[in-house]
Amino acid sequence: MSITDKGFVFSVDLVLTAIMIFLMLFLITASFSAKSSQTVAGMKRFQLEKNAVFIVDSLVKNSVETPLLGAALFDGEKHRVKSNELEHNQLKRAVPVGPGEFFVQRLSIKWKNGEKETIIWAEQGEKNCIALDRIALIGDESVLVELALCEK
Amino acid sequence: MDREGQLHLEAIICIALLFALIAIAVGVVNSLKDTTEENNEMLLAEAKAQKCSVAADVLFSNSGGKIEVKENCYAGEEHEVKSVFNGYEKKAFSIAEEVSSTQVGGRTVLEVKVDEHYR
Repeated sequence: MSITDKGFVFSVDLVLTAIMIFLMLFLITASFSAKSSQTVAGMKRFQLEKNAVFIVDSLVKNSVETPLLGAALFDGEKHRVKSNELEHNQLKRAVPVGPGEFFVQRLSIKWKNGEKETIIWAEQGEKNCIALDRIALIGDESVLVELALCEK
Repeated sequence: MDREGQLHLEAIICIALLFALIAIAVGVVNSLKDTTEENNEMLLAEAKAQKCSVAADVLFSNSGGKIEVKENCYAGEEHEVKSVFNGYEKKAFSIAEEVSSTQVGGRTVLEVKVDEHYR
């Protein structure tokens, strides 16, 4: 470091060093912040994916009071729920479930002839959505059940 | 004060400032470390709650039943499973409607009831 008439304190060298130290600190903080944001976003995405997978899985496997969580056909003769075979009337009564963290953006059935029947449709400024399809039976016809979940 | 004395004084101030700067830097890094550790613990607690809800969801999709988990899981409000880890209580959404839990030998047994698949 050169000693000028102005002395050490106001020398350009020292100011530059201080700027570099603060810049480094800023970069370290920014890097930590970015990593945390990434982790939180990843966790939210995981939650959404997990919920979508389990809702659509439960929809075709179970027969419960909430049709979105189970609209499988109950076979009275065999006394059992028939997985992957849906009760159309029960499915049509489906209403959204879920707490504040996500919402059901779409639930629809795509028939073999290309016709699409929408059961739930919500437009709430969707972001980070995930859509899943499951093949199931309604009567003797195989259909595509489409479910889309979005973050609020 | 002559010029040499002034330069000495400035050198002392300069070194003092340098130490202050180093102390601030160490403080910031320590604070960041603490915050990161706390955030990691909270995220871990969140992950544990998710693990609990996955266990409950799996049971709900597969005709109900019991499952033993390492996590400290218990039922929250409707469609909610909670977990406590290092003092952080976190909740997660679960499709399961009737969840209950019991502690057996330090482990949690989650039970999910659904309409019987065979009845």
